[in-house]
Parts: sequence; structure tokens; C-alpha cells
Amino acid sequence: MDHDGPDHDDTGVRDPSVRNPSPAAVPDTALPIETMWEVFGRRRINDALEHVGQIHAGDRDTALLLARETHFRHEEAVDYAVVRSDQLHRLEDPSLLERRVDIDYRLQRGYSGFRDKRARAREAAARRGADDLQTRPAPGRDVASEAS
Amino acid sequence: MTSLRAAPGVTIATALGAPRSQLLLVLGDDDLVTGHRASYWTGVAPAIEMDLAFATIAQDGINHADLWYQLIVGSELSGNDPQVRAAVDAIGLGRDPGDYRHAILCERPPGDIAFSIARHIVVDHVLATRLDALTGSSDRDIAGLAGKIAWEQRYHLRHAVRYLGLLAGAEPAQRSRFTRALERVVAEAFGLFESFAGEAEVVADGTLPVAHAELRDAWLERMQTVLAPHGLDGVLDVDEVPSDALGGRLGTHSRDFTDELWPEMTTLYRSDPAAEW
Repeated sequence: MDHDGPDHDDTGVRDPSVRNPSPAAVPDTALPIETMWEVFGRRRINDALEHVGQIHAGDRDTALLLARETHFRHEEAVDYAVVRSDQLHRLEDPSLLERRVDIDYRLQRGYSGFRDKRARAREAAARRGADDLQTRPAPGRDVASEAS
Repeated sequence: MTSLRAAPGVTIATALGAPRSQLLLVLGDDDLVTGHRASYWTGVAPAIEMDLAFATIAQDGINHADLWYQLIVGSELSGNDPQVRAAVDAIGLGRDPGDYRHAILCERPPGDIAFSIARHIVVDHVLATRLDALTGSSDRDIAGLAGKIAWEQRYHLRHAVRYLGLLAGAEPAQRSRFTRALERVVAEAFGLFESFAGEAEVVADGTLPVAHAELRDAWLERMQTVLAPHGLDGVLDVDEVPSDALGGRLGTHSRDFTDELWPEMTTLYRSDPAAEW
């Protein structure tokens, strides 16, 4: 059993394909120790990586080493990863997320109360003597041939 | 004969003086005392991430001690059984200072972070070397537990080696401070390789496949490999082992233990051996 070596490809990760393929290349003291890293964990091997928090470390290996005890001390993950916070590509203009017009049609809230709306529409149709809501063709039926 | 303070009604079936028990006390006490000293950094380590990592490593050490002590109890009951808990507590906390078998280096105060990290590096490599040997023990319980603890120990070693790199690569003043700490720790580490009463017997029957004196050579080789890339293997040339670092295996301890650590770590137990926590 290999007990030493600063590489991190032997930390009990179960799926070899998700390991970091390249060995340590960052010099020990390349960065200030307050450098921030984003930490991602996978609860089960087939789950996506989810962001779980951040960590300070002066290099990648230390970030990986310390993230285990900071974020995964209670068996929260079967695998995890770190990336330097300043290497995330951030949205330059957050105003692109702001909306000035009604976009309810994109949102779940735009479709709330649908059952009641449908019931009211049926009642209105019945009052008109129409039963068109019931006779709408089922998807896939050949309407043209039926009409002939 | 070792006497134990224990909660009323608790009897420890195994004689602590038996060679196998003495071996298990050596193993457990090194872990217990090192763990206690490492835990002093909880809440005050230089960074929160280091705080958490070092504190959990300390916790692991205390847990490993617990597991070794359970083998002295030798019960078929689970480790969580109240009787087993009471017996393990009695072994871990109910002995007089002179009945502890850890090396004196383990009981030294935490000092500065350079000293604590140096001790972490050195002691964890001693433990790993010994665990490797113990996986071949003729005692199946000991061999099995050694394998499990060695697995856990991998993280401790990685942590130690990483901080070795960080402190060795620090600016000259910090590096030399760390080097001095490492020199002192390595010299005192020779106390970890003294033999204990009964060692000849457990070596003869294969319970301890490699005697401590031989483990020392394996450890030195290992340290050479770890330290050489950082140009620090010079610290392994120890002219003279300080005499006050010797004797722990036979129960001779420094005042760091008898007057400071032992009273503190046994305070609650001595006030109420039946206390639950």
C-alpha cells in the first residue's frame, strides 16, 4: 500500500474516470494562501457535481486536501473537485438577467390555477351549448380523413 | 501491577501486564496522547480549513486508540456496548501516569505550528511504518485492525507531506524555524523505537512481526525518501538522542505529561468514572 506522495489520485475515489488525470503541476507556494477555490461534490457516483462551498488554499493540492475535512467530513460525497474561483467564467453584465416585460409564460407561476381556469372555460362552453372542449381531436389522429 | 480506576461494577478481564496488552497499550497510547496534543489547535489554527483538518486528524488518533484498547478488552460485544465503553474508558483514562506506554515526544506541548506540524509528519510516518508491519501480525484481530487504520492513515500522511512541502518551501526565516523544529522532533522520535516490557515475547510469537528497533530503520528510510526532495534529510543525522526523550515505553514520562496533559485529559473521568459523554 502506498502511504505517501503528494499526488492526489489515490484518495478512495471509486470511479477512475472522474479522477483528475494530471499530476500536481502547481508550485507549492505559487499563490497567496487566501486564494479562494470553489468546491464541488458528488453524493453518489452517477450524480452531477454540485457546488458545496469554498475554501482558501495557496495551491491546488492543498485545496483538494483541505476540502475533504472542510466540506466532506460526514460522508457527504463519493467524489469531489475544486477549481480556482478566479478561473470561473462569470457573467460580465448581470443586468442581462433582469426582465422588463412580463415573462409569466416562461414561469411556473404563469400556469398556476390552471384547473380552475379549465373548469370555468368548460362551464362557459356548456352555457353556449358547445361541447367543443370534449371533442377536440386526440393527438395523432388524422383529422382530414375523419372529416371526409 | 497496573491498577485501574473504573466505574463501579466494571471489571477488566485482561491483565494489562500481559505482553499482548502491553503492545496494545503502546499502540493505543501513542495515538491517544498524540491526538490530545494535536487537538490543542482546535479553534486556534492559523486558518479555518487547517483547523478543521488538523482537529479531525486529532479525533482520528483518539478513535484509533479506542480501537486498540477494545482489543485489550477482547469482548465479543460491539464497541458501543456500555460494558465495552466502560472498560475502554478505564483503560484510556483510568491509569496512573506511570502506566502509560507512549513515547515522550507524543506528550510534548504543541509549541508553535512548526513544531506541531513537524511532530505530525514524523509521528504519522512512525505509525504508518508500524501499521505496515502489524498487518502481518500473527494475531488476526491486530492484523485486521492495523489494515483498517493504515487505510485511514493515508489521509494523515498526505496532509503531513503537503504541509512539509509548504513549510519547506516557505521563505528562509520560516523554513529555518521549521527545520529546527524538525531536528528536535526527529531526535526525540528515537524514543518511539524503544522496546517495551514484553516486546521480546510478542516479537517471538509474531504478534509484533518487526521489533521497534528494526522499525526504526524502516522509518528512517521512509523519512529519507520524504525529506530528501525538500533538502531536509540532514535532520535525520542525529548525533545524540536527548535522554529526557527516552523511557516512555517503560512508563517514565516528563512533567509535560504527569503535571499537565494527564491531569487535564483525565479530569472528567477521575471526577466521575461513570460519566457519559
